[in-house]
Amino acid sequence: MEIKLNGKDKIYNKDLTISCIIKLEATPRDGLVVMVNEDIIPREDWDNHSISTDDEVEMLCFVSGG
Amino acid sequence: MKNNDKLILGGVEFTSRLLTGTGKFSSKELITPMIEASETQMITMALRRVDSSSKEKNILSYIPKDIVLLPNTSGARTAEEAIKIARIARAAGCGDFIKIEVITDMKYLMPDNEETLKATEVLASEGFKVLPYMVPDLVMAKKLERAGAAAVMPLGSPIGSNKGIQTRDIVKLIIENSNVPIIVDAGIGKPSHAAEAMEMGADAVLVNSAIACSVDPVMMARAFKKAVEAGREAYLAQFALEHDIAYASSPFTGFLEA
Repeated sequence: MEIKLNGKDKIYNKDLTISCIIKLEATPRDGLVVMVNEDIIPREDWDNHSISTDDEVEMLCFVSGG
Repeated sequence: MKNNDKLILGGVEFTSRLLTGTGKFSSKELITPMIEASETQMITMALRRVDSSSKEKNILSYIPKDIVLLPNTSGARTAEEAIKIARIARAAGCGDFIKIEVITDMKYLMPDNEETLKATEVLASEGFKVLPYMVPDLVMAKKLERAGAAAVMPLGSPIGSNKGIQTRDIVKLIIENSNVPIIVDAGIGKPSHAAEAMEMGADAVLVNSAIACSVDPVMMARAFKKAVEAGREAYLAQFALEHDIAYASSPFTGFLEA
């Protein structure tokens, strides 16, 4: 499965859910927001929402700022 | 700070009138002691893509759970982008507060007041507690208020310039004519600047660079806390009148004349 993750091409061996990708990328879940093809995916759907080939996934979080 | 002199933003009560930022610290490890020293109760942060190559802890790890988060829409160049960032920030579970920053001027980082107004109208209607950052303009400040802003944040001088309240004359007009809290943001470089803002009647100040870029950010945070409290108390105490001539502080002697 080939997707875009945060603007970069990513290849995974099989279809995955959002939760699986978060785990594979070792991304902290605190304050994390996931968007798939411009849609915000609610946290409660991460375990069930499957990512498909050519999906554009954005993982966003809070960073330092004024 | 007296507990009965509360700052109310978006229906939430605060006893501190010093908002702080999380940007520009030489180490994120300074953020927790800075929060403690400043006694701030609201702190700003930005929203960006996760950096999977970074081993650093999430910024939220450094912020106590009882601190109100104020995400900003930095990076937005239009109202549409600011609205998108705000919705994403809320989805991250940080609450309803949002600081609107819409900036296309990359040299002076002046906010675009028109786009800020458009974003405020939309986000306020969606239940956000909107704190728009603006170039001081009395007419625009009133428009932002009517659009539903929970407070208005006129800048003192360009972000990170530390030049103080260069816009004081217009900020004073905004303070005097506003029905929502006024938070002076940007350019506050010294505790005396913060005290000046509070003496003018500002409801709060937001300070980031002056604390983060100082040699001792924790000590500076403590200094700002005291300055904000001093300025606020001075404002509430009401100032003695200014005069063009002298009025003696000591009685004239009645015994030195021969």
